Amino acid sequence: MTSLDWALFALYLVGVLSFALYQSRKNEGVEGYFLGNRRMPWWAIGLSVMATQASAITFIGTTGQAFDSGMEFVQFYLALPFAMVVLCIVFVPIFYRARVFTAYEYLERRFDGKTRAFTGFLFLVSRGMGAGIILYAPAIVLSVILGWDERLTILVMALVTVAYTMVGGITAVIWTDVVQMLMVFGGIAVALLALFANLPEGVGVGEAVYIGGIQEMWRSVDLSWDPTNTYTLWSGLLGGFFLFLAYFGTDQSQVQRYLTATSLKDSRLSLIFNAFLKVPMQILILSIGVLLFVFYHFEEPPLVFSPAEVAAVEESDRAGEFRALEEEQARVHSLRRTATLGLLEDRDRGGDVAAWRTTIGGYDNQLRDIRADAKELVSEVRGTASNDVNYVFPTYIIDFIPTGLLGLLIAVIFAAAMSSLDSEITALSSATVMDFYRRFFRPEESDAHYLRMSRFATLFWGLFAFCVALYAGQLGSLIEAVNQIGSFFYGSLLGVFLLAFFVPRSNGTGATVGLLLGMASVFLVSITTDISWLYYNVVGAGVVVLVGTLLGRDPSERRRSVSSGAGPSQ
Amino acid sequence: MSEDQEDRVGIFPNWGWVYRTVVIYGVLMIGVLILLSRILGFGAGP
Repeated sequence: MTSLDWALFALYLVGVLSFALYQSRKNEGVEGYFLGNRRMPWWAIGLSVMATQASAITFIGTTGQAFDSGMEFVQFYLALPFAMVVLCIVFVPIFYRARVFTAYEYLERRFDGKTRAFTGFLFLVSRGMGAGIILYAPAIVLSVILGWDERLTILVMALVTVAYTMVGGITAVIWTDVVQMLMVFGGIAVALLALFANLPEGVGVGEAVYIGGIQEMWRSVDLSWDPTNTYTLWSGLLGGFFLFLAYFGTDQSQVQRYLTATSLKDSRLSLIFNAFLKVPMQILILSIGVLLFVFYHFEEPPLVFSPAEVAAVEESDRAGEFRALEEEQARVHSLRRTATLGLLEDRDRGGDVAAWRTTIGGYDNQLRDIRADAKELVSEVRGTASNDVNYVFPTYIIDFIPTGLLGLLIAVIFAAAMSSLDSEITALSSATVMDFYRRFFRPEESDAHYLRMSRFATLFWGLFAFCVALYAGQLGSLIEAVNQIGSFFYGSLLGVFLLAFFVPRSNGTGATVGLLLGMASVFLVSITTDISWLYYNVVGAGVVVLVGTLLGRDPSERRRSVSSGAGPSQ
Repeated sequence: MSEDQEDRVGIFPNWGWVYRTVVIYGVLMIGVLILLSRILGFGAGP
């Protein structure tokens, strides 16, 4: 990195910290700290909702995934607009009118204290882990780019984020999310433009799209019914629908956002905003990965992108095998490059390109096999699964992005990570203080006392995320890891809320037993079948609703009243 | 009338229209992606 890159990066860190502190100056009390005094505009909340979900993992992991397997990951997001409609009709009005601090507080009004505590606890465990992984992702980038110690990078990131979140609460979080999300949009544009600019002369947008199409990298919809395949249209629509209902409807990191709106209308608009923008944004991010695949037709890519994995193999007694694979890749890559240029030349002249396409497709497959062999070799040497997919985009920006833009893109990756981490730790803090500390330990303290404890809880969760981040490197593709962790809890959590909203005879005991059995069912399904983890949410929610409905027949337990109304029509 | 039906939302007469628009948008998005998957699959042909 040059001085200009460093200056831009430092400017981002100082700027975001100052901006956060400036925006949070009007915050007073716990309601100001956790809900911004319910004065936030819908567009800022909408961007914050988007920024919370789109972490650095999205930027790094998703592009790497598209580099390896094309656009198919977009199917995961196709249910999002439909889920947003259901959320706006059912979930948002109930939470908003209940005037609660957390989603789990609503469950106590509807059921009982133990349901609130149990669901709140599950949230703390799952999102605490998730926060750690979010923190780890940009540390990978800097460990590659600057040779920084990963632990030190994690520490620096956590310190800056925790500092402004501790002081400014949700107001600082939402306003910094706005800036950071705009930076992410800018980063996507810069990455795409830089990729096109780095293609050889004579290779433009049309040619790049064409080359990607030869290996069907643009194929974004798989209509097969195979339930073991994670990325099909049906797993995306069904599993994704339940996952998004659970994430946006029961995860405090998202619910807290739309509780900060000035009106119910603004809360809904913030989600509708996402219904329109989220899928196109994912398409653009995945396109970066496919264009990287095209770009490396003309530049020889590293056999394995992760320097740590390469070093491990080179220091082992299997270094010879690795070098042989590298040589084989160089040979096939050179042939593919020549064939690709030949194809483009013949295509320009209007000649027959069918033979070229077959040849290039064959080389693509050979290179894919060589890379798979190399990754397997890495796994065998290191004893853990290769997570090379997360190093593809970072490696590209180090090697090919010009001075200035490199600093900007690093800041963007940091922005993406920090805008998710701040939301997670403020949500974890709100659940800790409101659902546990105030509810079960110190219910009669002053507002100032709770505010102090909230800041302490924010610090605690920042520290917890830091500790988790230290071990996150053992997981495979980060994007999948976060979603898989969520899938063990989310479906069942969603089931509890569905019981609360739609099954009047359900009670706290049924909800709690259902929640336990729901999670047990998901665990059982995960170890006894090969179905995609995306379906776990459907299983979990289904079991909870079934069990909760059956156990809710007990006539001795009356349904508790809900001050805000228990149904979407009220 | 419920709040959902009364509220005018930008250019939409009520929330029902907003939701219908989002659903149509979602379906169209899937349709466009299916179409693009076929059109841009240059490796499949002769």
